[in-house]
Amino acid sequence: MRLSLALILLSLCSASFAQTPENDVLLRSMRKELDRSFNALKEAEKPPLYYLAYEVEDDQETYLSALLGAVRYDSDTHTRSLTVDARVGDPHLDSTHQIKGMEGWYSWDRGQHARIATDDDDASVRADLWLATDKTAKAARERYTKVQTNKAVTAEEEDKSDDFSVETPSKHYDRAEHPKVDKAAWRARVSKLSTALKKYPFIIDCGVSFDAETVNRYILNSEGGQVVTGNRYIRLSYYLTARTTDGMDLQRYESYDSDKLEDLPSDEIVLKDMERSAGELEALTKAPLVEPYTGPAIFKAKATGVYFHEILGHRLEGHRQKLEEEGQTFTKKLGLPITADFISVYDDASLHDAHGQFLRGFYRFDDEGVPSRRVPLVEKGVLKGFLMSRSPINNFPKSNGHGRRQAGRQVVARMGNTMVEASKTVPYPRLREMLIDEIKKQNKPYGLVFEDISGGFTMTGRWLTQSFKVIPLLVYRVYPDGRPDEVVRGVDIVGTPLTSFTKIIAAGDDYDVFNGTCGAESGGVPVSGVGPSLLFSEVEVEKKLKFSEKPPILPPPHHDKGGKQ
Amino acid sequence: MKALLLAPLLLTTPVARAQSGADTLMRAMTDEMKRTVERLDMENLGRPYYVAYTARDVDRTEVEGTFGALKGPSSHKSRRLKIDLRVGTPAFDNTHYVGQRYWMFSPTTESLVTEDDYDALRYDIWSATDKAYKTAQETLSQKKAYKQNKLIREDIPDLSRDPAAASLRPLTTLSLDKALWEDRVRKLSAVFRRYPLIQDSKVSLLWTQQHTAFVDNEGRKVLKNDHDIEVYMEAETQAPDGMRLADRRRIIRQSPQDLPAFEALQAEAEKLAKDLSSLSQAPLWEANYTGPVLLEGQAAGEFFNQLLARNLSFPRSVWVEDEENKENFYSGAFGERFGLRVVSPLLSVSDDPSVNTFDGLPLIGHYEVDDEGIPAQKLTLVEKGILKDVPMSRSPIKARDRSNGHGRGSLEEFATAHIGSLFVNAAKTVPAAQLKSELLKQAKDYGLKYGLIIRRILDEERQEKGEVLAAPVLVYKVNVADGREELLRNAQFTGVTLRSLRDVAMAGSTRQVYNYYQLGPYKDNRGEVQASIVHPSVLISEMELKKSEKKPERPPTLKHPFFN
Repeated sequence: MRLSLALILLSLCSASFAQTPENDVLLRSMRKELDRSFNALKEAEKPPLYYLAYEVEDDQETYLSALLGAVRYDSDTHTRSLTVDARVGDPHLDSTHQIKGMEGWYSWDRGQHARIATDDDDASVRADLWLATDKTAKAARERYTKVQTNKAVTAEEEDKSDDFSVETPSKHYDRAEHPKVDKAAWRARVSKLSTALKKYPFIIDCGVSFDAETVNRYILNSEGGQVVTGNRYIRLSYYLTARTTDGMDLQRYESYDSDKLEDLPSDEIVLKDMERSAGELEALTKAPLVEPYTGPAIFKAKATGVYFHEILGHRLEGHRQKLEEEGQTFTKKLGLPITADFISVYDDASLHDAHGQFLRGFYRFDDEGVPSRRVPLVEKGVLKGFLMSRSPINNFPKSNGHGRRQAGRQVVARMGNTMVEASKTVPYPRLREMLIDEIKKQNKPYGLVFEDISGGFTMTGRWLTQSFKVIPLLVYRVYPDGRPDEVVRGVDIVGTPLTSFTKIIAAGDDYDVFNGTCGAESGGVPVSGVGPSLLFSEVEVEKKLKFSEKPPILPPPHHDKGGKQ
Repeated sequence: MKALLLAPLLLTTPVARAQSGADTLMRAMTDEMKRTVERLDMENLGRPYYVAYTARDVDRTEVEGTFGALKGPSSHKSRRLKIDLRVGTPAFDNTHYVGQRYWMFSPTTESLVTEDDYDALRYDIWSATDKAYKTAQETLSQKKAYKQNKLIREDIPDLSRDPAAASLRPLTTLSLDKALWEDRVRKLSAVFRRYPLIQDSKVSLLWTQQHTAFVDNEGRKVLKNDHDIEVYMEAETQAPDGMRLADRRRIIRQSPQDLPAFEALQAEAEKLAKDLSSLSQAPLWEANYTGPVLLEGQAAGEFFNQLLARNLSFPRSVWVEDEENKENFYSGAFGERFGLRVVSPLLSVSDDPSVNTFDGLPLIGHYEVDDEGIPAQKLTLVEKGILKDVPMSRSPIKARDRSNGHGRGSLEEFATAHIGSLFVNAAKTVPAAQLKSELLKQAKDYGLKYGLIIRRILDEERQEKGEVLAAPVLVYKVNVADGREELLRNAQFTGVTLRSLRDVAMAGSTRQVYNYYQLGPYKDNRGEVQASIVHPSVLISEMELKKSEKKPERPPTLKHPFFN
């Protein structure tokens, strides 16, 4: 415990000496070794190594969790992870070029990164940079040979864009401080909050967590780019799980995200939410199952964010437009209407917050050192653009600041804050009325309202069906005859992008934010999805996977009235 | 087999807190265990006949350094529970059977809250017990089917009958001066700044303070300390021809005050750096060798671990559903060789976990009660080469139906019979110089121009597939003519069998202590257990070595930034 306090004091000390590019030892060591390596390696062999970049993620994390009034996990970590990017060849064709066919299938990114010293020590950091650079440069050279052969033996690619864009190198310095976490106070708080769930006998697992993570990224490249930029991700969350007798696990979850400790909600708010969640969970355990179905439905605002992330966002990631094994659903639809004309979508990672909530997808510079900005994707239903890293595609030769990755992976285009806006909206109660009208019009027995979702996934490649799945946690059945709404369970939302997109018929005015973590080939990155409630004329649901485990045989010990204990 | 019950009243404050916390934990485990054996029954499949809970409190600090700098010291506290739950009968229960999911052959474990809250603890224990019970019932029915299909007729029970006792020791919390060790780790890792031939290195201090609580429904109760402190060093480099070389040192004790002085640790780091540097400049081993080999120091220790300890241990074999995977579930060969010659008649072997030190050096194989709550017994394992006994857990074998208190394993493993502190004694010994001259004499008899001295062998974890003994690291060619030694690199053993134990021709008079972690027997889930081997240097009358099959890799294009 004393050690963790010391760690925090240390970082505060260095902050009080106001770290600048001049006195930042890590930055200086990275620059020295990068320059030495690049100068020596670039002409060491033919073809040349024409680009070298280092990214160090300095990560400090404080994590606490509690169960039923007692602390379960308590950890403080500080790590520095290094990823080296090396490109062999030239910007038109280099070692990152796609490898097509079966060879490509086995050339996946193994995501190696090195952990370097957290001490600001030039000798140690440079020794680690040296070894990692050597390994990466050799791997790039090997891959370049594969790229050349693959290009010769496979059919020509349709998109003949360059492999690397020309960008103006950025220079920037801002570091985030790890928050002053009063460990004792937070342990007590997290424990106290977790006690609130003790009184529910149907809960088989639950917990309250506090996670404060500060990430400072050092991004340097051989073009003279030098960016140091910090972000903080603070999250208070809880979850509760129950299980039905037909073997289905149900969960309610809530998270409160911010980058400042003081912006987290009060205990009062959290406890009220917990009570509501427990009520919803209990209702779910008694809820009837839904059969596979298609009919009108409303996606509540948070669900809209996830929906657009899965069915549109991933399909607008730049590199997917030129990779031959990708479905390229929207590649040729620039300038064409793809959804309702009152819908616009843009991605803006430079936004810190929206509708009073912190946005997890906020960053000033992407992992290639390119500044974030507002990127228009859909305007009045018409496709306008794609999310770009420094890997050019037809019509888009430049990055727009969306090159992202988890330490060790290769950068690809990823989302940030995906914002859905409707130019024509109605208040939510009116949207509900419209739902009922639609149910009647289609002569359906009922419609669905997707209140809350846990996330989803989407298949964009040609290997499988190019569909998506959105996983609802709380679903209501809405009847056209005035019966009260009924909680139901047992289904996931399924669909295909082109069809699904044509079914949006109205929007509410109730915007909300979904904060989460997106996973794709370059690893996990924090993101957000923002949008209003939407009315769909048609949404299809299919049966949810269940593990058929029986609920626990004996009741939870503190709820056991029978027997000896 | 004494029952020890110690009152916590005599202890100082921090320990007393740990003790009363342990009381809450024990109470929660005992109460849930009672409820389980009395009422846990699904579809009338039957209640468990045996339930044991092991809870381990872990307070772990890792100080890792490289080249003079630290990599974010990390520390965390956790508490984990292991459940041994059995359905059926002691004659035939759900254990000792590996089903289709062979990579998941492990007990049910669960994280517990680290605070001493009765309700929260019981909640976690309850939830994990439910899982353990359901798994046990499914496993038992699969095992029944397996037995029927294979027409297995042999009947070795699954659980032995052993006396029950309590063993409650005062829990100790030994403080670690973190600032001191951070400074030390920086200094130790900085040793490598003086060795330009080393490419990569690391020094870590791993301090694990563990308290174990155990309770079962046969009346056993254990409360004990399982502390572990390790100074770990490793270094890697390449020879000019690109062959990779690596070695490591692990200095393990049960408490910080038992560690060698800082100067001695520094000397160890220097030796590692020097040895690896010399190795990188040494000529490549090119020939095949069949002849006498003298094993000294750690090489002899690993020889006795990988051949002797491994085959004395784990005598109970398990049934494996998938024949192809049988080799991943090892059982020691000696369990079926009672009365047969297993090692040279020169040697006798005993195991005594009650011994604290040997020649002033602490033995980490020292413990009082095993992981199944059985007190450790002193054993006479081998007498003049003949097998007399093996370490036993509560898993019976044909020749033995009782535990002798050697059932151990990491928390994520089923307990299996391990050695504790093994003592390898030679009836007749000679001084070191004489061992060497005998080596040369025997080499001459073989018509060879040189004999071999091996001083370091890679540890068991580094065995390549199919190897019985891992590759040697420090191999010295010793001229028959003038006794001059020359270091060679990249040799490997070939054709090693248990025969080598019977080929021990001579032993040295100085006995050495080898403190190490003995690995568990199941390939996909190998935990570490503290163990010691006290042994002499030994001359093996014949071993075979050949050129290593490893391929070289391109050395780094640029030179190390610090040295250039």
